[in-house]
Amino acid sequence: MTTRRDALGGLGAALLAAFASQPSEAAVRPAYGGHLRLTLPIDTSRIDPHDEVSLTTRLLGSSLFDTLYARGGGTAPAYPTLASNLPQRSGATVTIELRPGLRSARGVVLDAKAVAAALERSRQRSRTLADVDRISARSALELALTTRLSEEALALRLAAPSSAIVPPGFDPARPDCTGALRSLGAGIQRLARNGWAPRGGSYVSEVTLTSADLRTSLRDFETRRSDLGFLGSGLHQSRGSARPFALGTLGWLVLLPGRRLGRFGAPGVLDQALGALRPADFAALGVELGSSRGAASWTGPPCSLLVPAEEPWLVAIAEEVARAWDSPRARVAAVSSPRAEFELRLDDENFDCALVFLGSAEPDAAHRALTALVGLPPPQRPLGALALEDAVRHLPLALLGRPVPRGFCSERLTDLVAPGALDLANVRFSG
Amino acid sequence: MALSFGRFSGWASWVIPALLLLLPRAAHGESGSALTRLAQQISAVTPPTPVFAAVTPVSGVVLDAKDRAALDAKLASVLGSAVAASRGRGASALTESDARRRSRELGLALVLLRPSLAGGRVLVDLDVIEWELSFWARARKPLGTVVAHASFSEPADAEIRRYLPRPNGLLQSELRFQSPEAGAIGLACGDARGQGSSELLVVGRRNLFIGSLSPAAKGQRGAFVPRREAAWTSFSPLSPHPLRAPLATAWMGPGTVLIGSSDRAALLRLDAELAQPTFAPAAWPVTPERCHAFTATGIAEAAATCGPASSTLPKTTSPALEAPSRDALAVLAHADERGIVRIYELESAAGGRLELTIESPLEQRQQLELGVGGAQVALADLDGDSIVEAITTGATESGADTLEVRSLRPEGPVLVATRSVGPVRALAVCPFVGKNPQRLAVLLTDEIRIYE
Repeated sequence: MTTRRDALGGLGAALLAAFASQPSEAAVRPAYGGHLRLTLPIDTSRIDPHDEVSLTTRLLGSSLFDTLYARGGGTAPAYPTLASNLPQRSGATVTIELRPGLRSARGVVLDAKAVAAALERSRQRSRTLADVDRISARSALELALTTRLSEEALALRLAAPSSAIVPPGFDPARPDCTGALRSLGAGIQRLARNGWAPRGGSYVSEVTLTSADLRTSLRDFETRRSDLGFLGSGLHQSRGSARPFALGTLGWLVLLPGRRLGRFGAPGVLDQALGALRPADFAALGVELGSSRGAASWTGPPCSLLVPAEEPWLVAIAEEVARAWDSPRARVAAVSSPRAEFELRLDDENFDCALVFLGSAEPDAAHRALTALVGLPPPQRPLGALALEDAVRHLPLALLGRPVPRGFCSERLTDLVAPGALDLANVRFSG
Repeated sequence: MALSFGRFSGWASWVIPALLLLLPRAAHGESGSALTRLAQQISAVTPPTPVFAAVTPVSGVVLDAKDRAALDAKLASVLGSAVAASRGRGASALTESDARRRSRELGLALVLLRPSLAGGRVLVDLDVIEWELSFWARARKPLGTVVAHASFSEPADAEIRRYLPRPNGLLQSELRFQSPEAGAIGLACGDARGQGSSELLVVGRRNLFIGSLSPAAKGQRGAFVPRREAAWTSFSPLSPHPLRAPLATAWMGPGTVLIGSSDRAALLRLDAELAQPTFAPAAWPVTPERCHAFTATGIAEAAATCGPASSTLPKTTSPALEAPSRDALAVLAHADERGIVRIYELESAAGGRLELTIESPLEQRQQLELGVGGAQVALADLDGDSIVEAITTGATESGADTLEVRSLRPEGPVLVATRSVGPVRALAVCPFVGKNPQRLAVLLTDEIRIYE
């Protein structure tokens, strides 16, 4: 007799086998090898897949960390990747079986205990698994999760990049990866193919990531020191043979008022000031502004716009906001501070206004994350037909817009872009 | 080799031990050409005392007079001379009655060799016939007494096939069949049951299938009819570190199927019923003795043994190996019409470079480049002209893949056939079953095609 467990297991294995990697349809096998060089305006000193407010995680996390499940695209259900089958419910508990033999890039065993610890870490740092009450290891390869979510909904949550699996004792400054690439040394400046990649190592052998401002990124592309031109095809002149790309929406850029802004931090005030921003200026920075109904200038007191110094792209955006708001009556300036200090000041609310990136493009996930950001309990209902901008209008924050990066890449690169991310796992050099 | 004895006589007292000693060797007789191996086996069992050796005309095959005469002469020469202590033998093929008459005239025992061709194999029946001494005994048994019998068989190779009718060209006909699993990645063709007929083994990403093809009406797709089907999960879990671009292949021999897939944690050895699994570390099997490990990017260049078969799954304790790799590999040991054996190795190297190596104990090692192609390669003497063909794939400007067949002639490779096909995932050449050309099986995304 075939039990439901058998059937689900079989289905899971089938889906996994079908999607575990992406074979070429053509007779010519995708080419392995090559050294990819990218100069990007993001922080390359650390990466934490459970950090929902990290541009680096949003852009590169899925290349460096794998999840138990993956999304099938569109409305397709999630399919198992590090799990060996789909979640199976028994009462209030949902069990998940893991693939045997999995390890992190540095050889740490990824058994049920390690995976449970990783999911617990995700639950504490992001809102993705907020609806999961308890996570534990039942045996070496079996996890038990207590949740009211359906099996399908849970699989989708576990497919989110913020539910990625990391080994115990994970250090974002020296990340031990579980995806197609591994970090060599500190941060993610140097990456190499991961020999323990559970869905197959990357096609490229090595990746060098350099953090730089937007001008340097473009100059490096123009002079062929980088294979990607962020927001352009060159600083002084275009790299003729370059191919355009667009990543789509990464999430949201959020302006958070601090304690020092006083009554100007009340819900709706910052929102009104967004009317002073010119869409064309921000389009050049890869930002799609939100719909503003407010005044055409900043009416508050002099103000500094806090932004993490390690994020050159965010710094450039903050400077553009400050330029638009600045007036002789009320000076507004962007102030960048090291991440540790930035986070400390955010925790203490010791700032005027801060620019924060939120890596949840999906409206309900973004809604949950935004309410968490301002310390409110999670929303009780899904957004439905309600626009996110309208749903958060009562919150003390303003949605500046959506980062929609685009640019150009080397003509020799194939499959560099996945929806909302750079796909370093599948990118490859042609010819 | 099959044995039977008509009468336990003075002959049998030494023939029986000799034949029994030969049994294990016969199973592994893979060196030299088929005729050489048959001759070695015949030589080992024939008596040391003087005999008359005769080879009858080959049966089981329709040939024109010229080719028949040439093949009969070849067999008479090679097999007849293998009889150890022949004092006389027919210079050419003799009929049975002529052989008996001549043997009696000479007063020698007769070693009668009867070659035939069936199911792509050369079969040789050997009878040792003694002549009775007394008048009444001779009257009772005018055909003599068979005191020992043995039979041998070897797959027909170029030395034999060159006498058989040849096709007018290659890739001339095409038959299409529905694949049992869309997106399958490996294919093999062989005779796992040892019944003299070929079957196909399809290596899917979820399942394994062994079966045959059932043609449909003209213009329609036929069906793959599975004889056995098994889920991968019933044998092996996924590899902890699979390849992003997967590779798989299989080897089929009598009673054994070897399957290697980069998706899976183990190299699988099954019987002809896709049962009785044993496991070895994951690898690309070329033969039961030769495997190539999977690396982080493909198939390791270095060959190794396939690892001891175990009833338990191997534990993967090391990450995928970063080493020079190949996308595909085909190996063929081929004996030409003179019986000279050469080992051909065709590899799809980095960037799709097709590299060919030819080695022979008697000749200098040759290395050739066949240009750039896909990750599907095969080697076979498809048309039986005793010249090996390299079968590869290539991309066309229209985006479709092509099958390309190059004849590896002594003066250099010559493109002898091309055919536009869909995206090719695997190639397999079916064993010779008595008719030229050998069949070429091509696995596409959801279809199997057979070319002759």
